[in-house]
Amino acid sequence: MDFPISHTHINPVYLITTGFLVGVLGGFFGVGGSFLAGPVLFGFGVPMNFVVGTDLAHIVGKSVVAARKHYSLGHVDMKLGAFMMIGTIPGVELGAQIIEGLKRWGHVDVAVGLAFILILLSVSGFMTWETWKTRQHHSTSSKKKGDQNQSGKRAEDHAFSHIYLRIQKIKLGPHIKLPKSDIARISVWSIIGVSFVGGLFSGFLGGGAGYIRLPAMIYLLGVPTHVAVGTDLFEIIVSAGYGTVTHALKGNVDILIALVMHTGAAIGAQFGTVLTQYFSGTRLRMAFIPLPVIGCGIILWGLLKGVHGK
Amino acid sequence: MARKNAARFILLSIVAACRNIRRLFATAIWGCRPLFGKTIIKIPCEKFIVKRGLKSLFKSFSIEFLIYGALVAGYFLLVLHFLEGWLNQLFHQDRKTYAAVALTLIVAQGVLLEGLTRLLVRIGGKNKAR
Repeated sequence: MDFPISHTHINPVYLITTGFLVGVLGGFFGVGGSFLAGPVLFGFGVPMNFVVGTDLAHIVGKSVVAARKHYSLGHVDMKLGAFMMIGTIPGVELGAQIIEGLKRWGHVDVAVGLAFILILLSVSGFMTWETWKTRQHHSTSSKKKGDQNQSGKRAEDHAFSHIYLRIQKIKLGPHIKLPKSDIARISVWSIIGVSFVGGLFSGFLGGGAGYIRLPAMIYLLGVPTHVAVGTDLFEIIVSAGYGTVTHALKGNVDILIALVMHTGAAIGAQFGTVLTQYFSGTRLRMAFIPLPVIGCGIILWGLLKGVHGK
Repeated sequence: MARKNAARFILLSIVAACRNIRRLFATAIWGCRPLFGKTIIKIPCEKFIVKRGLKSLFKSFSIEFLIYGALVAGYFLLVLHFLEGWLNQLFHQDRKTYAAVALTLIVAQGVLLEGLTRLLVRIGGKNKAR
């Protein structure tokens, strides 16, 4: 099938299959899947500026539905989400402007590709470390014969609480109270800072940037995990929705590719969500670790192919 | 040489991913615990319950997938075929309208397909109950 907007020729079956796999990963691991969708689109021969814009458009369709579900479950902190929007939108715009600058400079593929590789390797490395820590803790706690649930919660507090407690003590006003997230007092600037970085990654690399925003909300702001997931999805709608519009205005969105990919993602997400009932959390995270590395491999392959092609 | 190395790297990553996913499935489907990647220790109490659950899941999913596939194929032929030319024209002539249409289309498709999959899952559930 020809996609005249981005001047590419891709078999729609490949796109639907990619969408399906990304949907399964999204439902299964609770992530947007841009770490795989972006590299795969690049591997199909889509120019990097279109990869970023199209991936953002594809994410909007997925996150609207997921966010609605989380909102009905009461997992979205609207107050936090509203303050995060202040940082997210300028972040996305800055990311899109950097893409425009790189497009004019003529090095968008290499620059975004290398940034993608760096981020994906960091995500994979962090998850390896986090899983190793959790497993190490489980073996220690089983030796002590303590209550596993209680000790698991305590381990999370021991490992990361000092970071978010220090951030919550920042004296730079104004301060707000977030009862839904169990935060008694936090500086608005720390929320805006976290959301700005998330928006920047979303605008620059495409997708929802949940791989940056979600851990940042949990470990830096101290938001409980289920509220962080729901609020992150709400924020993805904002960042990906704004990103779609701004990138479409700059000519970086092939909406036909996004629509075709999304048809596979819709059913994949349902399948992935059902599958989570059959697997344990630690093993889920273990299986997730090599996926960003595969994304890195695809980008490297695409970059090398592109360089050789030129 | 560089391309060869890249291909080898991708292959090794896929092998590592498959190995992890295989271990994951071994635990979930057969209720077994893989030890050092090779030896499998069987835990009989969970074995049949999980296996039966996954079997019925795959069965209902494949039926839903077939219906969904037919509907999506129709959607492609009818909607995307007619939209292609118009969207391309819009992209080159009026970017503002294109941006608005792009966002509306993807959100509408998201809501529509989610409704469709939910309906199929509900029908599948009713059939199972009967």
